[in-house]
Amino acid sequence: MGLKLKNPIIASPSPLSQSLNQIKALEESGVGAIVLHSLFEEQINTEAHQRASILENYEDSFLESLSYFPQASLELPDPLPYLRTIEAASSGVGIPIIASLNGSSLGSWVSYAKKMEDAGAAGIELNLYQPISENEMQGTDIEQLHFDIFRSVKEEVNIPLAVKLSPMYTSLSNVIKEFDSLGADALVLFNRYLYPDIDLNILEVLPTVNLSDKREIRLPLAVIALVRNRVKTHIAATTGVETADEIIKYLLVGANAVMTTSTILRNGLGYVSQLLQDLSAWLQSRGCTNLDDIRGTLSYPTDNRHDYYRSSYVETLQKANDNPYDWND
Amino acid sequence: MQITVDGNEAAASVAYRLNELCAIYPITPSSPMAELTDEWSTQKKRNIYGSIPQVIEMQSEGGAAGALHGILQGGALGTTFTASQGLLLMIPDIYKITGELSSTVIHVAARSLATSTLSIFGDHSDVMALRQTGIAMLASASVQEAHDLAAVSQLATLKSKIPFLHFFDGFRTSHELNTIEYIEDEVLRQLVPIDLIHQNRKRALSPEHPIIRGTSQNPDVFFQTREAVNIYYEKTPGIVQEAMDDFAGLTNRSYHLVDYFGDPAATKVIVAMGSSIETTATTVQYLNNFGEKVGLLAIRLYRPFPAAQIIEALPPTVEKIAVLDRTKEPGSLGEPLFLDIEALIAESFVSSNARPSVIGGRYGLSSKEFTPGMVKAVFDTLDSDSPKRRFTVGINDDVTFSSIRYSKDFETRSPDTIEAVFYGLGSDGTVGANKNTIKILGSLGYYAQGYFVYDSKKSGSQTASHLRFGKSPIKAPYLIEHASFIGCHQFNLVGNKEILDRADKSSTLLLNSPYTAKEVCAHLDAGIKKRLREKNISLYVINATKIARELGLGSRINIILQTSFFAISNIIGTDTAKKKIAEYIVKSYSKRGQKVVDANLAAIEAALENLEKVEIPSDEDYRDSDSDPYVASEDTFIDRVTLKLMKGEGEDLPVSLLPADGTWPTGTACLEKRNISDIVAEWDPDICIQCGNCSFVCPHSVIRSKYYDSRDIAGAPAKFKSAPLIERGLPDMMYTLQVYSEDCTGCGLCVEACPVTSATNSKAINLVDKEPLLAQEKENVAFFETLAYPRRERIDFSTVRGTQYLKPLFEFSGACSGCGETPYLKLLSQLFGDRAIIANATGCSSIYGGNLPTTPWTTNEFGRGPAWSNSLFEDNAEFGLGIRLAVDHQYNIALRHLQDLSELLGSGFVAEITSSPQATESELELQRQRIDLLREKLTAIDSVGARDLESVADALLRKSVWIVGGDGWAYDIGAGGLDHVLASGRNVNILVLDTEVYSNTGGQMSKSTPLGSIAKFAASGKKLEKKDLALQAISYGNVYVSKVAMGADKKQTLLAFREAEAYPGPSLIIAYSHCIAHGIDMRCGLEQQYRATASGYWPLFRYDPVLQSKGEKPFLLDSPRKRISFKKYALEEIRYNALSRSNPEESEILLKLAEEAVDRKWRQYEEMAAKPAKAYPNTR
Repeated sequence: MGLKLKNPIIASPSPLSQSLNQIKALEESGVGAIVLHSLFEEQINTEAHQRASILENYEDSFLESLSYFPQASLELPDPLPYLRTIEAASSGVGIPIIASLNGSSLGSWVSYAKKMEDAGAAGIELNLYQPISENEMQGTDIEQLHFDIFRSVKEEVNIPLAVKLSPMYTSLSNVIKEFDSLGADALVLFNRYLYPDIDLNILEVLPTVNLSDKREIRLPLAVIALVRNRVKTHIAATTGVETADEIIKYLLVGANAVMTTSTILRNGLGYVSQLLQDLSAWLQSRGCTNLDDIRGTLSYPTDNRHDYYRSSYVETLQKANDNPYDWND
Repeated sequence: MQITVDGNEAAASVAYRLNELCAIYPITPSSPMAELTDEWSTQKKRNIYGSIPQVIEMQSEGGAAGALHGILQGGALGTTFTASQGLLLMIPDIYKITGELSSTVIHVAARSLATSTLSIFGDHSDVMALRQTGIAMLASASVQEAHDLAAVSQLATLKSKIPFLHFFDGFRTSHELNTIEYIEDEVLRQLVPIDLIHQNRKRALSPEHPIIRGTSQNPDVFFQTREAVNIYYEKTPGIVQEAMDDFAGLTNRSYHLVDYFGDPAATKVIVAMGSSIETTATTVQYLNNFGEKVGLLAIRLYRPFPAAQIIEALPPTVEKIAVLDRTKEPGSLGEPLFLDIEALIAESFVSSNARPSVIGGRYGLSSKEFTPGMVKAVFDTLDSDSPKRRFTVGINDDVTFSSIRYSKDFETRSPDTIEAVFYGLGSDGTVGANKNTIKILGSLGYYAQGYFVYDSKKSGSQTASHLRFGKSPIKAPYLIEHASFIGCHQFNLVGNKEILDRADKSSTLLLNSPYTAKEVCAHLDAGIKKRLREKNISLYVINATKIARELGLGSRINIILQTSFFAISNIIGTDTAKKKIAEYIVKSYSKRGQKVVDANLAAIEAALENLEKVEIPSDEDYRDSDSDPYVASEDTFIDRVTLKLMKGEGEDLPVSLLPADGTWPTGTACLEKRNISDIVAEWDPDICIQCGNCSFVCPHSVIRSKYYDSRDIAGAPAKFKSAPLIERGLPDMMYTLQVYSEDCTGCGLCVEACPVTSATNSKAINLVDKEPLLAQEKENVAFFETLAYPRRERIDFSTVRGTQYLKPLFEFSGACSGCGETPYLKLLSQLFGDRAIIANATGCSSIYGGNLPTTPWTTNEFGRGPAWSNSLFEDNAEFGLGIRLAVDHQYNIALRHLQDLSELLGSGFVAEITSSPQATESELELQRQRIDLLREKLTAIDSVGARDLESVADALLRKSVWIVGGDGWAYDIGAGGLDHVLASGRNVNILVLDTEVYSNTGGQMSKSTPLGSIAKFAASGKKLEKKDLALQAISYGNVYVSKVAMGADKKQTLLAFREAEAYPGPSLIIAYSHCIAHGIDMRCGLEQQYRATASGYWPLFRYDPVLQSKGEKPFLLDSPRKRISFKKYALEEIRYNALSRSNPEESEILLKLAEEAVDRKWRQYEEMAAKPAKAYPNTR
């Protein structure tokens, strides 16, 4: 993304970055940068609409009560607290503060990117979250929409713009390549969908948020390895970091930085220094002095990618089928 | 600098900048002055002396005046804003403030006093009631003057030491938008220099130089003390003129204590005060142009009375004077201004042969229009050989024949003024758009005026916006009679007679129409088309409703129609209009989110693309339509009066038709059939379990249930819905849940309350489009009405389902759609309405309960129903207690006569009629039969006692006296009285409809407002917990107290109502009432009630002294421990979440405190529930 970080660990969007005090605590924990919790398109749009309709339906309707609220209390636009957080954080902490904008449609909400920049964000992570319930669109249309959203946000800002993707594109590597050519300053791989569960007692769908675990790193690991040498842009890996091992793996396949929330939520803020210690220890044990010594060393070569990947796949499956009861879960 | 503001803002802007402290209490139409000052204070705007004025909301106007008195004695600059009875509540302190020669200005939006009827509108009856206090009175006639004279009066009070009452006409001036010249801070600083403030401070109470004031004096010196002030009054007129001159020197706007307008050699002169000055002045000028020798003497300083200046200003040629008073003093020789002038003329011309004759007239009571035609009529009446010495103008007095005739067609319109009237609904944004249009035109150098007329409904209310624009100042404080442009923003309003009445010849009508230019004529009434052609009106249509929906704007069609107006009228050119509207959208809607801004911006283009001109065919048959939107009634009074009011023809009613004492029939809301919603409830008999929930919660009483013999259904319309009754012991009976579709407001509370969900996810009651089923449902309702309600004795009053077979005697009110208060009133009316007397505090419930033209209170099939009255805001508990005392007294008289006549009536019969417990419906029915028998028996007895007994026989039926009001009354202004009534031990039932805010006047904080929520006067979140009114009442021991929330537990609500009513002492029910002032989608009102209880914030409980007297635990906690956090409940509402957005840190702190308060309170209640009877006061 072009930002200079003191270490490769970035705190990904989470409830841990909602207030200035929390952000300061994260900085003290030692992370290299912080991506703030996401400002959702829906927060900018739908909620504003509903509030507007609740407020306006009764304004200027009845002679004795032309309004019902102290106007001064309603003056502030909804996302303003978010912008104030950016403002406070960017001047209050010494590490880069990256704002996060989450949306899935074109519209004026993207103009908030400019407001984030004005508020002092060092960069923006654009999170393209397409609900899988959307069934009217062709895959190519969805891709095109995402490119368009990216372009429209890019036009708004001069600060680095990263794009956070889900792995669920028909042609993932093509999409990644396209974002690279559109000028993405970084790719954040990957978004995790939150799948609800069902409570069998009350027969209700329960929204659930699960922390990621280390088993989940393999998809991003594989894809980063695959695309590392195919794109110019930087890559941040996210999902599945439990220990320094996962960070090292991501760096080995070529990630420029590694994001985590789960492990901090599980182990507390103090665990960041542990991660950094473990990372240093590992590097030292390998005689490395610089991250670049290992970064990308296990990424796929640029040539014969198809064959390489296919043969690796076939080999893996063959091994597995030889010993079906040894499958790791 | 020019600004466009209303009179309230004009006055408040100056008052704020020249004062340090404001002690206020909200009252229409002055509330916006107080709200604005609070808003500026919240925004930390400074006054011209560099400090931020503080605003404190008090518990009543009496409290505000007391605080003001203290502020002044403390040496600070203080002010207040008020009107009507609020001003009267200040009178005791105003005597003190005046007597102590304290400098202050009280700004008043003058309003009618409530007599037989309340009116929120404007006249001078309130300010005239202060003549005797000695306060100086300065009257402003316009928005500009309200601004200017606010400054003049401040300077004058500081120099003269006499406090000032600066007033202007309520609504006509206080709410009229007009373009005015703004007084800059620097001008105010020069006008009211700080050394005057320093002098004022020297008079403050201070222990450093102690004095005493407020002594008690004796006959030796009291008289002389009073006379010692004379010198101050003598100097004051001169001081005021000096202040006016200083002001003119700084602003070039010149005023005098009295100003004369017109021919210097006039023979006829009108003397007037207030906004009528402008109307009269323009009419005088118009008549002068035709050579008429007429003039106007405008009074600005009314007290101290500027006698010398008046005589000096009158032209020497004057022969006849008509004095106009905007007030009425029944029984007086004449109204006050008239008497003053008459006395002055008599005194001044005592030795002259040229004494002019003086007559006095009343006009404009309660904002009655005062027009150029009326001014002309007054001059004309002066021409008469024997003019009426006391007259009225503007009405038809066919009883005492006081009125003079006037012409409605006489106009003094300036040809370069454009006049436009727009009709819409409160919810469609028409008024907001027009306010903005005025500001747009004002910003482009136009002078503009706007006045807005609203009907008295809180749901589906209609609005009319009267707009004038021109290149010179607009001085026309009356409605537009002949507009060159009419906007009709709702298609179904086009049939209103008034709309085309107000259209000028060759004017333009813009109609929001679901039909295209080609289709629309087929859907217009023939009579309308005839009038369009007769008046040569150009018709334009646009489907703004459809465009708004497509753009996601919901019902907000304002921008589309505003753009259309500018496009058609071409006042400022379409491009400029587009640019200006866009600027407004960005400014106004940015706070609501970018998408709202975008949708509104898109509306501009959509309007221009879709506007169409209509060609009205000339060859149609224009028969007048004889369709009448209102249902005819047999009641002649209703025919002659109520139906006229409903049709908007109240202006035409003569005095003889109006009840002199304010007594009106009930049962009239059912005549209106307002059809305000496109979606209505529809019953699904197949899955309905007949629980009655939907009907129980329906705020508008549009869902009724009956059961009946299956044979009764013969003759029903083919699509009349019914289902076998699910009720044990009643075989072969059918059940119908009937929706009164024409009265349904589509609020959806019924759907939310329905416990049934079908396999396809529908409920047993659902909201559907009305149009396809309306005709059928009208037939069904008509048939349903023919089915009898089950007899009350046979109904199970203990179940929700059972009570819904009782006819609601409160129906179809104009309350907000989905109102949280009205379901409680409806329940009250069902359970006890046929023997209830209701004392209703002023507020929402008195407005939807008793604002003409109709009332929702109604009668049962026997003609019985609630008798209802509203006294005031502050005295409702006492008022209700008085009713109880009277009822009990009559009962005692009846008892005495029954004993006296025992032999003649039969001792057994007397024993029965005097000892019936009348606890159940069967016993009540038996008692009614006994009273009928008693009357019969009494006809045969010829004695004074028998006649006396006849006159009080009704008192033998147990009456249910209810005292009803909101939290503004119960927690604040009426708290003292309520407390006293609770302590009286008398059998009254008090229902507090607790919305936790002053709802009727627009969301001001009360002591019921919860910690952490915002409200007007608590813009940064209320820091204090809500007062626990229940605990206060419980402390007496003998008060039945309950807290209920229908949305949380219907059955508990029902139980509390029944226990409260049955308890023979005072009862208090505090009912959670969701409200639009909470900032919720009203459809979620019941859900929010549930959450309030589930979070422990609104625990349900009953304290029953009967249990205490039996030795049982009297405090019963009816709801379980908290299941959700307070935050989860609170943040669903704008009143809480607005703060979490604007000031998240503060919100977090307050919500935490609120959560702690909930937990602490809950522990307290739990402890109370565990305590035995002996822990409570012994009530045996």
